Amino acid sequence: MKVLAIDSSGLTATVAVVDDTQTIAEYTINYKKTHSQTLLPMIDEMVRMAEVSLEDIDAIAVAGGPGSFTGLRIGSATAKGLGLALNKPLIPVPTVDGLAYNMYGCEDIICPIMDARRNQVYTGIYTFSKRAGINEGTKKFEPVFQVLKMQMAVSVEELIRRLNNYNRPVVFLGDGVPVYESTLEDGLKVPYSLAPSCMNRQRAAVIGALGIRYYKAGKYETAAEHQPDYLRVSQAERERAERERTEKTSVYLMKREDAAAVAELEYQSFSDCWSEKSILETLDNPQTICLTAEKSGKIVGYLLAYTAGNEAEIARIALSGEQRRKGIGSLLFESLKQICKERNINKIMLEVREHNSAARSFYKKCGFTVDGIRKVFYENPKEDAVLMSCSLAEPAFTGEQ
Amino acid sequence: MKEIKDINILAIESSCDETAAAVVHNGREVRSNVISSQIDLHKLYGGVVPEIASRKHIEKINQVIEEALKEAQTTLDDIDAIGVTYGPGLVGALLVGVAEAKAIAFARNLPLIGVHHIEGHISANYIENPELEPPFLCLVVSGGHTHLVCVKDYGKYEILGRTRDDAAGEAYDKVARAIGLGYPGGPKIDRLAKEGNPEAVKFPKAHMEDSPFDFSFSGLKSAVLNHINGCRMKGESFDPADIAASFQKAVVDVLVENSMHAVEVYGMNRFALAGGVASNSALREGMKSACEKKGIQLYYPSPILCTDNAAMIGAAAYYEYLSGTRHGWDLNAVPNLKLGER
Repeated sequence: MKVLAIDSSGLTATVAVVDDTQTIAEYTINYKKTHSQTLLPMIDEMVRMAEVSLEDIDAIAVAGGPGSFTGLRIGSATAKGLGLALNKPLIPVPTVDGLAYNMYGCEDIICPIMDARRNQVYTGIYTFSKRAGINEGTKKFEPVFQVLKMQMAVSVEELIRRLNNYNRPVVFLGDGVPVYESTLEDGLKVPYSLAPSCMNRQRAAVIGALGIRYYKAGKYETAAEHQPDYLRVSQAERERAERERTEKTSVYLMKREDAAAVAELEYQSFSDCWSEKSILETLDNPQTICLTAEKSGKIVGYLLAYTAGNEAEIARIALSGEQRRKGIGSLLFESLKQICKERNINKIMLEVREHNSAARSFYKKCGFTVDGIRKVFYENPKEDAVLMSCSLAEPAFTGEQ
Repeated sequence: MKEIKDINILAIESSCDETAAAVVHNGREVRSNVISSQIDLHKLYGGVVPEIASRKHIEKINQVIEEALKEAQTTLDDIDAIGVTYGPGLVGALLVGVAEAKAIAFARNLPLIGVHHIEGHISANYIENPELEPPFLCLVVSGGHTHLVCVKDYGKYEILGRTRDDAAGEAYDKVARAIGLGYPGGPKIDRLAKEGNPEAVKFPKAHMEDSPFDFSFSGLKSAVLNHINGCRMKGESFDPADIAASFQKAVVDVLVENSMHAVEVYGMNRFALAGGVASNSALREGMKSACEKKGIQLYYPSPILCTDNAAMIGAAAYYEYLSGTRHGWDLNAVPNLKLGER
């Protein structure tokens, strides 16, 4: 089979055409020009020089990550475009595996290092086993490529710790080596060497050769399915997860200036949404309890209840989509309960769409029990209402654990 | 004279947070217009996160292109050229569309036409208005752009005015955040403003002395934020709907005033709106009544063609195709590409 291979995961831009037995063409540039400008002209020149017809390509192998996010996407989008236009499958080859395969036959520990910034490296731990590749009755053997530790993003210190544990000589390669050379020298307790310049960077011929092996093992995908494996979430996602973990939600009596955000939540949550003006009217009505839940400076939920004598009825409650099932509903209910007690209100009532089972089980958890059914209470779509209530005279709230 | 055959263009757009592809026939007939929006993802962050946008583009782009071809009931065999947005926009996002478009064009030996995103927005007006031809004036307003442009001919533009600081859409997003509406601000403020009194607060309208067609929205934005802070510090309550309506009025007034001034100076009788904010109901109403008074024909695209889409890129690419524009395999994304640059 014939494979077009692409690797633009690091500083090196490299493309190749390989078949089962040889590298037909390879074009590698290790220079600072952007991949966006070099990659396709390189492919163009290579296939013209080698007189390769694109129709004869059986698949496109691409360094599938990790690497520079933008670099990966340029290679990936190029491969996806070629795959779409030629109707050929894509073979994603893990970038670090591709680097390690440069060291064919090496029985030492092979450790490629790519600088991942933020004091981390993309790396993996590999070796070739001669013993595993011996065939009985012939002198010929085929060293078996062994992945001892799959590619990962870790600190150099963590990598050094792991390498010391193997207690075997290590050969390093990759663009992270010059960056961390002194750290390696200081931390390693095992002998190590650095791969020579002819084999210490990404090479598309290797991606192609590995790609053919992966293809034959059934490891390929459609061009549409393919996307890079970054090994890392984006900074924004990481920071957001951290905020979500640490920041608390607070519930307070609704302010007039909250009305816009509340109306927006209404709009997103209900087909019969209340306008900003009707929310302000509710707020101005002394016979109401209006609560806002706020997190990281954003309004994430609210509750509007009418009061009459010693009873309160919940008119509206909603949470912003991404904040559901995080205990904010329970916080709103607990605050409501507290305020009701202060105002000598001993019963809270509400109605809920019959088929809204998520809400019904939530109210049940909050201590509400079913009182009855109100026929065809809702519009859009028409539906019965289930009437529920909760008495505050006895310990009603089991709380949400 | 050689007869020009029918031209089908496959167009790709990925400059911000929409992954889009379209098939456009002879520049004005949209055979398909597929948009995969990432807006729900970016809402969580209060704005477009470039890295997340780029990741989403690469995930979706082939599906979107395949769907566009399928919807147009065509295949790449019947496509005559590939058009793609190569700037301005988010560089990482642009690169996905550019690399993809280049690879398809290369593999199929098709001409490649890089398109300026704003030229696309302007050209959206050609799609539903077969009679519209240059010259005309166009106001392009979106989350990233505020330009008053004289369209002299297909592909020939003179920028009369632009924003000195924030784009109009950017100001909308910032004010929306301040009154708790969240992202994206444009449609939310537009909706809320309908409930408010546009005369409730007098916000300043900036006119540039030295360049009568330029805009500035950062002063207005600061005035709104200061007003809100002032209310909070004094413990005064305020109605967000009034703020939204008053802010929107200030934006629309300036946009309309500068536009009408340009109409007078340049003596044009056709005016077009373009860009995401061209869907804004107050802007449309304001422009309609101003144009009616002056007897000017006003054009604006349907909302689906106002938002970022690839049909508009296909329309622009067609006229670039006719004028001979062809890009090489070294085409790069240009995040700050100037209108009219090649």
